[in-house]
Amino acid sequence: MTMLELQDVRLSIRRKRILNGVNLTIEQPEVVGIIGQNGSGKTTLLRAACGLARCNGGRLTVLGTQVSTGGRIPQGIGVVFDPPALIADLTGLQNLITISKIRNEMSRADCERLLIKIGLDPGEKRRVSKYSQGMKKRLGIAIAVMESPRIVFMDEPTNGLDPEGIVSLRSWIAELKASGACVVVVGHYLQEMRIVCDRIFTMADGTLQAASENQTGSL
Amino acid sequence: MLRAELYRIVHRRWFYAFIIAGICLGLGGFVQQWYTNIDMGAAPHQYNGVYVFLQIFGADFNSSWGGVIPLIAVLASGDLLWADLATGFAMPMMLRTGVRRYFIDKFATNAIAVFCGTVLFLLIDLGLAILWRGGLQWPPVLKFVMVKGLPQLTRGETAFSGIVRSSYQPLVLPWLFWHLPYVYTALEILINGLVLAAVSSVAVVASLWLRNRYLVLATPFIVYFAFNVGLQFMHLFEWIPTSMGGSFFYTTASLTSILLYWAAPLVLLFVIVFLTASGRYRRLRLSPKEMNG
Repeated sequence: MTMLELQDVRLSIRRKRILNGVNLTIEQPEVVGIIGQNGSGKTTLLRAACGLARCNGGRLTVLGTQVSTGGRIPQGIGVVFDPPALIADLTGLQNLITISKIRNEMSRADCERLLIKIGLDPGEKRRVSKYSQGMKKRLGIAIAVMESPRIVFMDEPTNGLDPEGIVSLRSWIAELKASGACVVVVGHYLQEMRIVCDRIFTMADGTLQAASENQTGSL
Repeated sequence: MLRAELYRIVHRRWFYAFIIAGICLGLGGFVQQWYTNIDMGAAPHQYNGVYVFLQIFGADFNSSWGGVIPLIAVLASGDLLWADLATGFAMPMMLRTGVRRYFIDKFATNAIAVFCGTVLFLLIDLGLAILWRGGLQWPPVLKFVMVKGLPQLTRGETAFSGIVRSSYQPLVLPWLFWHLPYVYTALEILINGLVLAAVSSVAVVASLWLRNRYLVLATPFIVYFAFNVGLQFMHLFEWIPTSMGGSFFYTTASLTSILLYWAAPLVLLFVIVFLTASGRYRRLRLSPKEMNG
């Protein structure tokens, strides 16, 4: 089964065309990078792939669920939002427990183990509103990967992470790929993408193009 | 998602502020009623705590309780949907539940939390009232205050048959109040829970249209006063069963009409969420910055 398939996907926000015929197919576990300038539509593309924004045209299929037409939410996906979508007045552990109670797939002990793995202290008493940017990002990553999703979308995952966190992120991405998941990473830095991604695309004028081999720097 | 949201609400300080506000309101009411009853000619030894409790929480809209209902109803979780949409936390939740289900569960959780919280603080207030003055003594002056007088005791009437008859006969509610005060008080507590759940649900629906936290929290206040106090100013008292307190004085409403009056907005708001929330969310057409809060 194709994991992710976008065929001529179009989407407008307030009459402004953001996605203008995007095509992309992912058939096997791999890491795909998408780079582009601010406002080029990378985040909107992720949002559409999650079923959180309705496309105006084209065909978007995620794990066998056609997302584009009905605006349905595909099952088995995880998303790292930027900035991370967290409950500010709960602790990190309480954030994970709240989410885990929806599907009941993880116990409190599982949540604590995941926090330790991601580099956070499960016994931390501070509310998330008091967390640093990097801690929030780590918690956002934990929420995205907590129920073993088959596709993980990451919107600028290195934002706010310290060098140690970036190195850890690379190993988490590799781990996800090894477990059979597909990871779509959106960001600005081509150098960083080259380290973790199997394929890299550039988003420009609402379309995706394969990044050239001699392209360098950041966008 | 119900469990997740309930977990979140009970870990929120505002939920406890809601409970404490209800308890404080009861304590303040005891003091106020102490003086009111003296003014009415009832000596303190002539009435009990249950009667004082009903004077506070069973009153109509022209009371402290009536005035603060929309204010405390939104404390527990009235702004949670707005906060989720504003901070983007709605998105990881929706990914796990689906968009429509998310909004429905959010609506249901708010109603359940407010209903249960109200019942909890009213039971605490009732307990305090009984501790303060137990027994089942009604002040004799009450007989003269009640406009249409007390209905006669029907031979063989029980609590169950009384509730059944009160569901369609207004005059049975005063009978329940007089002869089976604990049954009447239990009904009063449940109906107050329903009232607050209905009022707080307005904030959940307002979150779909308003992008300002304070406007969202003010909406139940505006709607509540427009539809209830406003009708009183138009001399349409008969349209407003309020809670059951109005019954023991005026006997204008049956139990069914009270339940219908407060269940109707709750059902209507649920239908609005069910039919419009999903489409409304996708039509927001937010910019990427707004999408992520």
